[in-house]
Amino acid sequence: MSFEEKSAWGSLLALALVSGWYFPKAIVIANTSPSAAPLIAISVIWIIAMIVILAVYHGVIALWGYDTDERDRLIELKADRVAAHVLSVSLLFIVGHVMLNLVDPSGDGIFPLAMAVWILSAMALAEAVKYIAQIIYYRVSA
Amino acid sequence: MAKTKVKNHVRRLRFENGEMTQQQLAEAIGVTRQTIVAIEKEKYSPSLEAAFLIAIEFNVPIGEVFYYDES
Repeated sequence: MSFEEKSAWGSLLALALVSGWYFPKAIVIANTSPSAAPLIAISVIWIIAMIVILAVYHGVIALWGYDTDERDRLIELKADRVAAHVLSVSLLFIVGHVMLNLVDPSGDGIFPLAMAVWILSAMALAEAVKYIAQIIYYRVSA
Repeated sequence: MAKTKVKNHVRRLRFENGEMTQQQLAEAIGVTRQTIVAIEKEKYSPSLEAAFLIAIEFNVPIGEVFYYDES
């Protein structure tokens, strides 16, 4: 298994674990908290956790070599293309949701926070799809 | 498994060149061993540059290493 394939597996697992903790909490906070502070706090924890886990993981797998080549780059480009479609469609749904709910009925200022969580979710989903596509391309073809 | 129409004799040429390992060929042309595996299984068509480097490594014309399956 090449460095890039190990990287895709590890990044997918880390994203699933950390986002599995983050998003349920974030959605509850975004819909209930009157302040942005708790959401910002757990978002910072999410980002730091991802950086630390991925840095340590990549440091460990690099001990077995970190060569990449033309096939790795081609697979990454193809996976990026798939992820870009997922991100585009997700963002279209979010924009559609915003347009249908332009005015927050409760008027309590929570709406922008919820939107931030939805946009972050779309980005995380696109990243997950990218890693899955990379793994499939490595296993099946390319 | 999707196979490319670009076929090759890399595996045979490795054995005819002192039973060269996939790792040795990979290092010689600057790719990973996994890429050599994918080329030999005809799941990946290498770039023109990599194809030429493989031919140069075996000291044969590129047409003796790679060919196109028109069927």
